[in-house]
Amino acid sequence: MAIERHNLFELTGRGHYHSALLTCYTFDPIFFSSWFMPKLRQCGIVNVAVLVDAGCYDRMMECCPSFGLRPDLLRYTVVRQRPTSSGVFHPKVAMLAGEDEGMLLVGSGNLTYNGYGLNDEVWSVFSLKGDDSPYLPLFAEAWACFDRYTAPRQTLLEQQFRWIETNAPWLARAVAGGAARVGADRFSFHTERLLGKIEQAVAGRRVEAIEIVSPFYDTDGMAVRNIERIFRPLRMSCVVTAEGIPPLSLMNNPGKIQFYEWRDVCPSQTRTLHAKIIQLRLADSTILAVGSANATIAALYGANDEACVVIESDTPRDYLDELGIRLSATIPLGAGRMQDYTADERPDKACDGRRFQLFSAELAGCELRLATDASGLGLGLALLGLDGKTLAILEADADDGVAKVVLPHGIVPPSIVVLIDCTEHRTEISNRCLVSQDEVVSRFNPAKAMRSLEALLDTSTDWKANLVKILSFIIIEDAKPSSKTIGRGHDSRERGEEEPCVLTRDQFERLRHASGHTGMSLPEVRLLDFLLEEETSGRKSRAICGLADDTEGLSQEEIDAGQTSYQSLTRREKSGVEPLFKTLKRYDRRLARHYAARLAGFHASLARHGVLTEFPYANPVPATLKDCSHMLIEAVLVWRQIAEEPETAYHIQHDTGFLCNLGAYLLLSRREPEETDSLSGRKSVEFGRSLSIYSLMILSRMSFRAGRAMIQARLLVLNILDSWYGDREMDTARLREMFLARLEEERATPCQSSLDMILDAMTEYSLFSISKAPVPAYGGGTYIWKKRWGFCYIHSFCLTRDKSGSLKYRYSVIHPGVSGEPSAISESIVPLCGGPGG
Amino acid sequence: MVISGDNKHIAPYFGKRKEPAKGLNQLGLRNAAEQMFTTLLPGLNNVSRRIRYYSFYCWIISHFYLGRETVVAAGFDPYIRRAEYLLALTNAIDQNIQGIPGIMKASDSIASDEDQFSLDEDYWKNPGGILPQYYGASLDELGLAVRVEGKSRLYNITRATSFISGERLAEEFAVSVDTDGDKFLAAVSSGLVTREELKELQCSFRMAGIVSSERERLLLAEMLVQVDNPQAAEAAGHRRETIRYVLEYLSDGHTRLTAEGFARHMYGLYASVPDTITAWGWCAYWLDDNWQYQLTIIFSDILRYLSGELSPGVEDVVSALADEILAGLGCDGDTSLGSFIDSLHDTECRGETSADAVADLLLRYREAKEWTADAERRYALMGVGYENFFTFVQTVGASLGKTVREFAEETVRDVVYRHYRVSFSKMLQTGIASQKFSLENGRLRFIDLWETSHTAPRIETLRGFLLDLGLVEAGQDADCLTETGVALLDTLTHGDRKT
Repeated sequence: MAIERHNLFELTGRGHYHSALLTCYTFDPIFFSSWFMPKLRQCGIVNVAVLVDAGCYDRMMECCPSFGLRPDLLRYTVVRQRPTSSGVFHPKVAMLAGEDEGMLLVGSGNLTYNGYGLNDEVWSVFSLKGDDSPYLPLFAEAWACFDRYTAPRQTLLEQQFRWIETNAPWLARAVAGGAARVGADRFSFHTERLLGKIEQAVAGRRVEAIEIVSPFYDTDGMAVRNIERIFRPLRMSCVVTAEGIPPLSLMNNPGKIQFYEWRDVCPSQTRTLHAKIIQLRLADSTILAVGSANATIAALYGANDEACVVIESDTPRDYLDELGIRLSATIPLGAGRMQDYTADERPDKACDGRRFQLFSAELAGCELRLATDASGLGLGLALLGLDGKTLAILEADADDGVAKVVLPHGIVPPSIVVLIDCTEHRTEISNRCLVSQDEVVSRFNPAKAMRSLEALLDTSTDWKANLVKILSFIIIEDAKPSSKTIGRGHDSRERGEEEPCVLTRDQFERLRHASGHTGMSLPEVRLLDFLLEEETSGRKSRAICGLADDTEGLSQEEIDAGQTSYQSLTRREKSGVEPLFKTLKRYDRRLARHYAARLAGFHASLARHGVLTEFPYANPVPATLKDCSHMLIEAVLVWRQIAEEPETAYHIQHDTGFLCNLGAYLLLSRREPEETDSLSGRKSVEFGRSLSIYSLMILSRMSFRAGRAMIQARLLVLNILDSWYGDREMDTARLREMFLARLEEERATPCQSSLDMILDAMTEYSLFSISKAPVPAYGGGTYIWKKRWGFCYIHSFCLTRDKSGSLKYRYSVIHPGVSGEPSAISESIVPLCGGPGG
Repeated sequence: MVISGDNKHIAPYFGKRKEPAKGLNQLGLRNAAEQMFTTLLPGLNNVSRRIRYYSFYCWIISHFYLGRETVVAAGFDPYIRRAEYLLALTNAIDQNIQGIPGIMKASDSIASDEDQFSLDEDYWKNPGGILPQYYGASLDELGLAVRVEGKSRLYNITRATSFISGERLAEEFAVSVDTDGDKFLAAVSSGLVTREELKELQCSFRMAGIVSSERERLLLAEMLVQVDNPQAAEAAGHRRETIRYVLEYLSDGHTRLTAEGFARHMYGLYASVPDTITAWGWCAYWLDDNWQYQLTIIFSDILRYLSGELSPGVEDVVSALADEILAGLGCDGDTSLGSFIDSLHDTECRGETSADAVADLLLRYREAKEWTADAERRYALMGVGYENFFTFVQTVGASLGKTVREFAEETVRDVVYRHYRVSFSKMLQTGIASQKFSLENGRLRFIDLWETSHTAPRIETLRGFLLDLGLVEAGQDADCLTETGVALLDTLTHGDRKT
C-alpha cells in the first residue's frame, strides 16, 4: 500500500499546543521567521526554542545583518548547540507540547526551505493524547535528549524549559528508556550509536536484504562495508545521488552491493535527495531506521548527535516500495555510469580567526550575561543591532565561563553581541551571538493567564479593540452582578480559594516596556497598574484582580461554545454592530450603578433628614487605584468618542452619566497626600493626573448653557483643581499648562465658551484661599468651598434658627456628584471669591 | 489529514513538497507603482477591456429590481450569470471579437451544431460571474453601482443627478438596445436562447468596437471624464487629467499609445515642472515602475548566474554580479559612488544587463533627488504608502561616500535577501511558493528563472475605451485623435471642467 506524502502543518491542523522544541543542523532564519514560526503560532505555540549546530549557527550569524529581519519577527530562542562528541549536532526533531497532547516529528529535514519545501525528506510523526498514550516513551526519550543537549542552561532557556514542564505535566511525568508498541510495530527513539541499536534489534537473526538510501556516504564506503560485514545480507542496495557524496571507493569495487541513482528509482517525483533510510528485511519482519543519520561512520557510530526512529515491524514489509522507491523495477548503476560520480566535497566554510566562543548571551533587565570560554578583564564587547550596526562598545570581565556587563542607561538593547579586540581595528575575536532578552522571552510564557493577558494586549494597534476586551474583564465590586455574569473572582471567593496571581511586578514592568506594547494606550497601562497594585497590596480578599470569564451579553449558544464577552464585544464592535458609543454607554451605566451604590447611604440619610449635616460617609474613603482606573477608562472612552465623532459630544453630555460619575468620584475619592511614598500613592498621582487632563479636555469640548449646566461644569473644574491641593508638583499653573499642551497635541477644537470657563475657573482657584466669611443674606448664588465636599454652589439663602435657637443660614447646594439640590445650614462659609460681589 | 488530538502515527512518510509557481512581484517593489496608477486611473482595470460593459451592467442590474417589491439576494448571481453568458454568446457570433469575458466557452457553443443554448453553462468559475471579479469594484469607483449594504453579492445602481449615475447609463443603454432589450431579458428569464435570437441581438448588444449609439457613446465619454469617485466627499480628477494628457500625447498623430511610452513621455515632459498633481503622479509612477524594473533585471541576472552554478555561496554570487556590473559600467570599483554618479552620461540606449540597470537607477537618482524633500508629502496626498523610488533615493544619498563596488555588492545582496523575505511573506499569506532559489547554510540553490516585466497601468484598457468611444482611431503605425477626440481635448484643456 502506497504511503502518501504529508505536510507537518496539515497534520497539526489547529492543534492545541503551546510550546515547541526543535533541532536542526542548518537553520534558515528568514524561512523560519517569515513562514514556519507564524505557522507554529497558528497552532497556538508561543514558547519556542531552536537548537542549531554551533558551526552552522556561526556561519548564519556572519550573514545575519543582511537578512533584513525585524526584531519583532524573532519571537523564539535560537540556541547555539555544541555537539556532545567530536562530530556535529545533526538531529532534526520537532516536539510540540500542549497541556495534554503532543506531537513528535523525527526526520531528515533541516529547518530550512529545502528541508520543509523542496527536498525529498523522510519523517516519522507521532501524535499523543493523554497520559496513557502508547507513544509516551518516545516523547520521554526526546524530552530527555533535549534536557541533556542544553544542560547546563542559562536562565532564560531554563525558564522556557520549566514552562514546558509546568504546562505539559504529562511530559514532566514521562519516564525515558522505553519503546512504543502499536499493533505489530515497535518504535524506539535513538540519538546515538544507531548502528548498535539496529544490531540489538536484529538480535542475530538472518538478514535477507539491506537497502540504504542516503545523500551522503563516506567516500571510502566504510560505514556501508561495516553494515555488510555485521549483518551479512543476501542482498544489499545503496541509493546514491550525484548531488551528494557517494561511496566512490565502494562503487569502484562494489562486490555484491548494487547501487542505484535516486532519480532512477522514483523518476516521477524526485527532487534533491536528503532522506536517510536504512531498511533491513528479515524473513518474517522488517527493521527500518529513519531520521537524520547519513550512511557515514560519524553518523552511525556516535561521533555526531543524531536522531532516528527505529521501526520494528513483526510483518515483512518493504517500506521503500511503499514509499514509492522501486528498486526492483530499476536497473542498478553499471560500471560506466558509476564512473561519472564524483565526491563533490565542499566543506562548510569555518569562521576563521576566532579565538573565543560565545556560547550564549542573555539580557535580564540591564545586565548582559554571556557564557564564553574567554577569560580576563576588560574584554571588548560590541553590541550590535539586528542590522549589524554597532550600538555600543563596552568592556566586560569574564570569569569562570561567565562575563557580565551592565548596559548603561539609554543604550538600546542589542540583538547581537561579539567579542572584539580593544585595538582601533576592533577585530571580532569570537563568533557573533544572538541575545535573548528577558522582556521578549517573558512573552513566550504559555501559562493560560499570561496568554489571556497577552491576547488582550497583543492585538492590532486598534486601541478600541484592546480596550473593549479589557473592559469586559472588569467587575465593578459594588455593582449588582448581572445574572449572566460569571466572575472567576466571585466563584473563587465562594469556594474560599485564593485568586491566582496574574502578574508579578517584574512581569508587568517587562510587559509595559516590551517592544510590542510601546503602543499600549493609557487605559491599558492603567489597568495593568491596577491589577499589579491589587496583587501586591495584599488586598486580595476584596480584589477582583483575576481575569474573569465574563459572559455578559452573550447568547447561551455562545456561552456553550466557550466564548467570552470580550470576544463577542470585539466582534460586534469591529463589525460595526457595536460602535464605541454603545460600549461607552454600557460602561457608563456600570459606573453609575457603582457610584449610586456608594452614595446610597448618603441619599437615604438625606431623605430622612432633609438637610445636609455631614460628609456622605462617616469616614471618607481615600481614592483607590481601582476607582481612578475606572474613571480614567471612562474618561478616555469619552474623549476618544468625541475626538472621532465630535457631534456625539452633545449626546455624551446629555445621555450619559459621565459628568455625574466624575462628580461623584471627585466627591467620594479624596486623595490622601500621605500615600505618595508608596507604590500605590505614586500610581495614584499618575492616574489622577491623567484623569484630570482628560476630564478638562472633555469639558472643553462640551457646550454648557448658562444656568445649572454651566455651574455644574465649573464645579467640576474647581474640584479637579482642588483635588491637587497640597501637591508639590501639580499646582494649578502646571495643570493648566499640561491641559493646554494636550489640547494642542490632540489638535482638538474646544468650545470657546467652555474653554474660557475652564481658564477662568483656574484663575479664580489660583487666587482662592480658605478664609471663612459670614453668609450674607443675598439671593444670588456663590461658589463656596466646603470641607470634605470641595467646591459647591449655593443659592436660595434664607435665615433660620437651629434647635438651639441660634441664627443660621439655610441654602440649597449644588454639587455635580449629588443628585438634586440638598439643603445645608451654616453660619459661615468659605467663598471662592471673598465676599459678595468679590 | 489531521492527526493532532489523537493517538496516531505515520512512520515513515515523505514530506510533501511545495510546487514552484511563477508568481508576480518577486521583490515586493511593484506596490508603489501599482498603488499610484490605481489612484491615477480609478474605475478601470486591466481586465475590463470594453467600456460598453459599464452601461450594460447598469442596465441589467436595474432590471433585476424592476417590478419586484422584494428581492432575494440568492437570485442575483444566477441572473447575472445568465445575462453575462448570453452577452458572450451574442458577441461570439462575430468570431473576430476580443476582450469579451466568457467568449471562449461561448465560441465553443456557437461552433457546435446546436440551435438552442442553455444560459446556465459553466462559462466562468466565480459563482457570481464576471461582475464581482472584473467590473464590480470599477463600477463602484465610477459611482455607477454599489454593493447593497449587508449583502455581499448584491449590487444596485446609483441614482443621482449631480453626476453620471448608473441610472442614467441604464436608461441610455435601454434606448440603445430598444426592443432587443426585451428579447434579451426574456432569454435571461427563460434560461434559453436560440441561434436565431442571438443573431437578432448581435447588433444591439455588440460590446466591442465603436459604440453604435451616439448618445450612449457621448454619455460614456462624459462618465469617463467626470470626477474620480463622484460619491466620495472629496473627489479628485486624476482620471480626467490623465485622459487629457493621453489625448495630448496622441495629438501629433505619430504615436501608438502604450503604457511604457506614455509614462516615459510624462516623465520626460513633466519631471522638472509638473503642472498638476496628476502629472507628478505619472512621473512618480514612471520612476517607481522603472525602479522595480531595473532591480528585477539584477534579480534575473542573479538567477541566470545561479542556473549555471552548483549552489554557490551568497557572497560568491554577490561578488560575481558586482564584477559584472563594474565591468559593464567600465568603472574602477574603488571610485566613490558620488563622483561616479556625477560622471554618468545620460543615454537613451539602455541595455538589459545589471550594469545598465545600476547606471539607469543612478541616473534617475541624479535627476530626481531634488524631489525627495516633497516626495513624502505628495505620496501621502496620492494615498501611496509603500516603499518607493524615493526610499531608494535616500539610500543612495546615504551611500555617496561608499565605493561603487560596495554599492553594487549591497544592491545585489539586498535583491537576494529581499526576494527571499518577500517570497515567504507571500507563501504565508497565499500558500503559493514563488521562491526562485533556496538558501541554506549560506548557499543558494537555483529553482527557476524569472522574466522582468513592467507593471500594467491600465493604459491599454484606456486605449480600448478611447477606441470604442470613437475618440481615437488606430492607424497602421500610430493612434490618432478623431474629430470627437480633438473636441474633447479642447474641452478638457480649456472648457468647463465640471463635466
